[in-house]
Amino acid sequence: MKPRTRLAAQPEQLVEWLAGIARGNERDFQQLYRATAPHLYALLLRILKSEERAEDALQDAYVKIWQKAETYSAERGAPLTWLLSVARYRALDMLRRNRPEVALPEEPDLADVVLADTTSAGPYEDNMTLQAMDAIEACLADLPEEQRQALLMAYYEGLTHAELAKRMDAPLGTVKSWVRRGLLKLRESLTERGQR
Amino acid sequence: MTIHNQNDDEAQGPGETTNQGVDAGEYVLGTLDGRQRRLLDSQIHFDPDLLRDVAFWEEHLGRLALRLPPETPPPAAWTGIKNRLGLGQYRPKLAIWRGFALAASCAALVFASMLYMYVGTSPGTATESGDQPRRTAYASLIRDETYGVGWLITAGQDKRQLKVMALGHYQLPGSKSLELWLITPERVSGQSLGLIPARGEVTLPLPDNEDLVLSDRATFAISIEPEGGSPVGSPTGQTIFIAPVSADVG
Repeated sequence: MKPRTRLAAQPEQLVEWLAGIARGNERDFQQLYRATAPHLYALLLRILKSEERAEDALQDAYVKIWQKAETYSAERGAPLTWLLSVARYRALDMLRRNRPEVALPEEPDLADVVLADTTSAGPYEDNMTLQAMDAIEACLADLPEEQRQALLMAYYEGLTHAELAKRMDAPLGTVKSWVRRGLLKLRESLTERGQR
Repeated sequence: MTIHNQNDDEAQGPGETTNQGVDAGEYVLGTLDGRQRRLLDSQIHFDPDLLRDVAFWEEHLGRLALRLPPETPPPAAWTGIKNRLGLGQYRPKLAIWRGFALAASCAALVFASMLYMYVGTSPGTATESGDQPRRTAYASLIRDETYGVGWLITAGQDKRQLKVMALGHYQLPGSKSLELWLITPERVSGQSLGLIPARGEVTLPLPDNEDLVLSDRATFAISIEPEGGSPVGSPTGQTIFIAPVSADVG
């Protein structure tokens, strides 16, 4: 796992660009793309496991971002995580429609890899984002192993309950319970930490 | 709104009165099945608590994506985006209409806007006076592939009336109406054409105004408004569909 990398822009700048995009400002759109596309593309590559499909999904995501920029508001969360959500929903949509085409490599250690890097903080420009990342990772680390693995594989791989059950070699009902219990505890932990 | 899950009893802790927060988490994770996801899709923009819960999970789970090393996308990606959006070319200023609110946080919703032009071979509509059937000069099909609903909007060459036919039954919340708008380069704020049905059809008069001309530079939009329509003459609710108007083939 590489060290954390520098975010390309402060949240305030992203918000400003989104406001410009809502007014039809193409320059702001291009700047937003340059600053954020590498983050979205990395996530799409992770989920879709195909450069071609990730590029398609990236295009779809930014077309949607151009169309719905004005719907972004502070209540929707940090601008970068909102952008990432737009891209991830698109990837999930593609997966659900074309699942048979998607190979699912065995990567059972993904969650361990992700959480093992929590101490290698890099030069993040945004301390609030860094603190929030630490919060979600700390809360995840407190979950029972099965719940943590289920949530992380669902997030990074876009797996359904049935796919999780197969990958984790567990009954479907049990996996569903792991996911819901994990989310419940995660929400409680994040709320206790003031991450609302 | 809460989705009942067969594992709720097991997953729900003592004292928990709702699992909406968990439902929202599963929505964001993508583990809900199609029926459950569609149910939340239909509720999310009318349930502030649900929207807040979804935003909570998007915010927190989204930070996990920042653990991945950034990857530079191929240059063709940006070129493709520009081409698809027609950036650098003339287009109506539709910024205020970009609120595809139903699509927010909704991966499953796919819009397909198609343009039909019925040239001379179109049977058109016979008039009571026995005139030659009028040809349909404009038509737009607004369709939501996921839900299989939409509207077919047609206009005769005289541009005096629009016929709007619902395809399927749009699930509209109570005390709400659907309002159709015409947007032109000269009237970017849009002009109401009237209310349209969630099912069935309606004929609407077209305004006789030189800055509200049907042309390939115009756009239809549909918004959700309070019952009876927007009280202020401009959209106050969410814009759920936008589709271009065809070229004049008359």
